Amino acid sequence: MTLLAIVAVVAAGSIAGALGSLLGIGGGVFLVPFLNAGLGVDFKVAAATGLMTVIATSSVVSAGRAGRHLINLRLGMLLEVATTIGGLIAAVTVAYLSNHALNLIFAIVTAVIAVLMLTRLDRRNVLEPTISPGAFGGRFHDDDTGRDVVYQVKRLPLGMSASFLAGYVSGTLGIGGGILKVPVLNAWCGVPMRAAAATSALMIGVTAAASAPQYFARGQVNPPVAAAAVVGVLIGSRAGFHFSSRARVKWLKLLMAVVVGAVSILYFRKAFA
Amino acid sequence: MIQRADDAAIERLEIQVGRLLQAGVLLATACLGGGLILWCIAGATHAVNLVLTTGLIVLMVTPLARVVASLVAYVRLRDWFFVATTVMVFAVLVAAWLVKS
Repeated sequence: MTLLAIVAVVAAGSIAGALGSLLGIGGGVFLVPFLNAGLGVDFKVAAATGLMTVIATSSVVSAGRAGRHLINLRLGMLLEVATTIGGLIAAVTVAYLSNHALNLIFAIVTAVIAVLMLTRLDRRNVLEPTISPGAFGGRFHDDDTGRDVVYQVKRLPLGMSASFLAGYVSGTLGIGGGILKVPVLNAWCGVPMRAAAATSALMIGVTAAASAPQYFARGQVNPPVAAAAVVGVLIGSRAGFHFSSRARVKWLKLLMAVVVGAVSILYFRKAFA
Repeated sequence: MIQRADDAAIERLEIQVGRLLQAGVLLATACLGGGLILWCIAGATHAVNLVLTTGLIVLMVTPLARVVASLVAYVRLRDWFFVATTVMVFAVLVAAWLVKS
């Protein structure tokens, strides 16, 4: 790794972190293809880097939300059983997947994410920018689902299955997987959007922590690259929070759905080249 | 039956867990940021690699520490259903370090 490449990774991490916190999808879906297709980093090394940024993001977002009753610790703990098992199975089995298979899985998952983004343009979902705890306090009251909402969780097996799948995808591709389980928890399991997003943000850290050690043990974590990505993402999510009130999130989401769609096409081409 | 612990205790747990996560990220970021600066100055020496690797391990262990803290709290609250789920998550996280692939 050259100095220039490390600077590029910090920059890419910042952009991914800012977009992730603005759009609520986590930065991994931008960072992993940048490292892999852009800088030529091996897919599994790129995925391991993504996992490190997922853990950092999860810890920061959850720390900022603590004590607000948004994180449903009980539901989260139960769903974490499913996501961590999914994450660990993925991290073990990914060693046997070829780059062709990984390209294809990444292409399919990014296609699904692009479609989910397009269908949910008006919803604020998954990771909200919450670096400074003081600043997001007032925003709960702006939302139609305030903190005094009482809800019951329905269709728990469905939530468990979605969590398992999100864990598997996270451990295989190095992305957070929140965008895959939050819509299920919200639409079918009766969890209000903000609680689903906050609980998911807590869960993705543990999920990534169930995958990352396997990559680490196989020597697929590149310390300077991972460090640069984590530092970049932490800087970027701060910046994303700063701009979130001014940015026209809906148009940005539309644009980024197109970008994610393009990434998907790129990986379909890589898979079949 | 699932017994619900009182809200005040859960809120205290949440705040403690939040502090723990924050401390973990701060420590990891200090190692990673400092290590990167050293990497730029000194290059990929053994010592620099050690600092960066320490930062990454701290980062990976932070969620595990969160699970352990929750487990202790659930045992204290005698919330056995969630003691069970937390133990399962803990077991998977420990297996993640031990399983060979």
